Amino acid sequence: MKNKALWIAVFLLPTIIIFLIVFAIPVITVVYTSFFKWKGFSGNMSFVGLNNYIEAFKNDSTFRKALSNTVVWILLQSTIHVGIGTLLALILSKKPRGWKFIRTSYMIPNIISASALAMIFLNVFNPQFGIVNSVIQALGFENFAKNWYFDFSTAFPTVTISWLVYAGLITILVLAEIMSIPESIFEAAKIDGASEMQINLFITLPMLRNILGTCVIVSATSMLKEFELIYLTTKGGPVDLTLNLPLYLYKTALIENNFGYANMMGTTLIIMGIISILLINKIFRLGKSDV
Amino acid sequence: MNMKATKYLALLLILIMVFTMTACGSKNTDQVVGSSEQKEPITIKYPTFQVGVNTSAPLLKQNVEEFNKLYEGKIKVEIEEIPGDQAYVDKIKVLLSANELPDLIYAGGYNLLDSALEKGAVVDLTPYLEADPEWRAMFTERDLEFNSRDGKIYSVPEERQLVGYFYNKELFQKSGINQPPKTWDEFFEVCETLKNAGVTPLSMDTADTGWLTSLWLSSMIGTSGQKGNEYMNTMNVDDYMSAEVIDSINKIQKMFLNYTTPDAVGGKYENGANNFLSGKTAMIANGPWMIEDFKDTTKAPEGFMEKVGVAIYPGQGIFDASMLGYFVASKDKEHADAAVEFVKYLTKKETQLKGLDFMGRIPTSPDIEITADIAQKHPLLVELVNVSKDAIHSYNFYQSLWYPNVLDKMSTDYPALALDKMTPEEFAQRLTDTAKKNN
Repeated sequence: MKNKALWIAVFLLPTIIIFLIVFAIPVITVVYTSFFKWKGFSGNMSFVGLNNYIEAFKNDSTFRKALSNTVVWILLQSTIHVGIGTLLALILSKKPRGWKFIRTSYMIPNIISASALAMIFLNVFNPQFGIVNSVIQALGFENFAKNWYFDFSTAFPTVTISWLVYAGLITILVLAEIMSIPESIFEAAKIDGASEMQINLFITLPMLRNILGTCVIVSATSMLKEFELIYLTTKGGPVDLTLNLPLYLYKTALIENNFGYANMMGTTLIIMGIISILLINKIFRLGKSDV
Repeated sequence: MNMKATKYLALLLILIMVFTMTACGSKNTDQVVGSSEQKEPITIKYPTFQVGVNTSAPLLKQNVEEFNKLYEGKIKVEIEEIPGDQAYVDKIKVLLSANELPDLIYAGGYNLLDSALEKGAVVDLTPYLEADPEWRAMFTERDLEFNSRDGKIYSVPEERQLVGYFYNKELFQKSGINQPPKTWDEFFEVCETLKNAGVTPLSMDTADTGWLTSLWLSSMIGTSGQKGNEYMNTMNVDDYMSAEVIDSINKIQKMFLNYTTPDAVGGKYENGANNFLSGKTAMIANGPWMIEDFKDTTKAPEGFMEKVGVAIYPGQGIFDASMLGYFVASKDKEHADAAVEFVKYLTKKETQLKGLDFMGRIPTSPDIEITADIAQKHPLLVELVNVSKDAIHSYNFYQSLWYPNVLDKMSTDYPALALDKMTPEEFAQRLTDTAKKNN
């Protein structure tokens, strides 16, 4: 037994070493330096305790805006995005005509690079020649020239749409799980007189608890690192309407060279991630049996 | 026994994998150090934004090819393509943070030098310039002073940037305008006249520091009087609340609201350039590097070049200032020497003449004159040099003068100003608050 434990430890050691070097030590460095005033490239750092955090939460309206945007996007992505993906998976599980084509084509936005997607959306929503405005103009509104990405009323929803409805990954995961549910359960329910809606609500969905929880975790945490689509479209503008915490971190570190403050944001993101995962685990009782 | 052998074999494989990864990670370092023992040429890493559709791309490519041929076996320059000015600036900053600056960096007017100097990553070029008086004579004292810090010369420019604005003579004539405006009041009258004639007056933008827009803004400040002109020749200002600046921002707002295309808000330089090149707008603020685009039939219609005129800014102003150029960040002397050789090649008289001939790039050297042949080939450039003599106010580029976070704030706040969601005073205050974060 002791010999076996030793072998397990030996085999795990390279992975642990790599994990420590590549992940753990940098994270500890980020958290540690978030308590320092560290600006510029001179390497001079001075300990300031919680000052960075107090400054951010109390006096920095841009930080508060970025934080609130991030939280809103986490909530939207966890609910609407997962909801859309699940709904489509439930529909596709009935294998309607062309279901394989729909399943594949719906994945396309998820496999295109974020930079290509951003360029596509910039052109689609271009106020002068974008297809959205062109269609609206063709419907009779000849002078319609909405600047979707930079108008105050539409900037946030337009950026949100870039990722909210493209739930191809969620669909694939949930569909795979639905396909693994034994047919006999559905047959038994039908024999008992259950309708399709009742089957979906009271049998299928409860059985998808674990995969749905996983999808919610994946969706929520994706918003903690969403960067490219915002950077390549609005860069967080107009003003700070579409700014999120990762982009603000990037600007603070690489434009302002304020590394201590940026690491404070990094630490905040890590804490938000841990809280999100713990909360979602609790809500969905992940890993626990259905009984 | 078999189980034990399998375990040992598996362990050995894992260790080989780990050591291989470690060895791969240090491979590049081994190639850099101890190059005197190598028979391979010294490789100079040079990331650049002068690639792709950038107007300087063909010239740089030619220069690199010729240099590599000339120094075959001794020095090899390797380009890393980074399309887009802002992407390039961001990349250099990331490399600086990681202490992995390439051998050669072209500041291109952006203030990358001071950040690199803070980290002690820049090679002092003074000894190289002192050892080669012929090379030193390529630069004016004003340029060398601008590229110096604490009495040491750290970078050298490759061109003189004389920037006015271009206008479409055909659209002007169609609208009944005989000549470019001389004052800002006349400028707005011209815009109104163009608009009434069904012509969109201006190409503007907001993305990536809003280059096209910010040139107008800077010129308005720079021609507003002595105070404004001093402001546009001062580095790292942290107060944008002066009357000159707010008045200029007010004018910019007026231009956005009345005299430009819908896609200016949120638009990049390319949108604005395309609007001018396709004849949709009548005026665009930009430098002589754009002249080649007027002849390029993949970008502009045939004969477009003949329709373009160039002018100095109303108030008799022009951008004519020193700019930050090439600096070397090699970690060892051999690479530094090789990088300096390449910089010498890029800035020597023949290459500057080639730039002038090839794309109308104005040489930094005061001894290089525009010959009759070149004048015939680049009439618009000659026109620019001639009109620049009428300028009484000259000023520097906002990108060189203002803090990077202020440039970013301008870009994200321009849309609000443009859509009348922010007053000029609020815009100026936000720039001031942002600038003060650097103190």
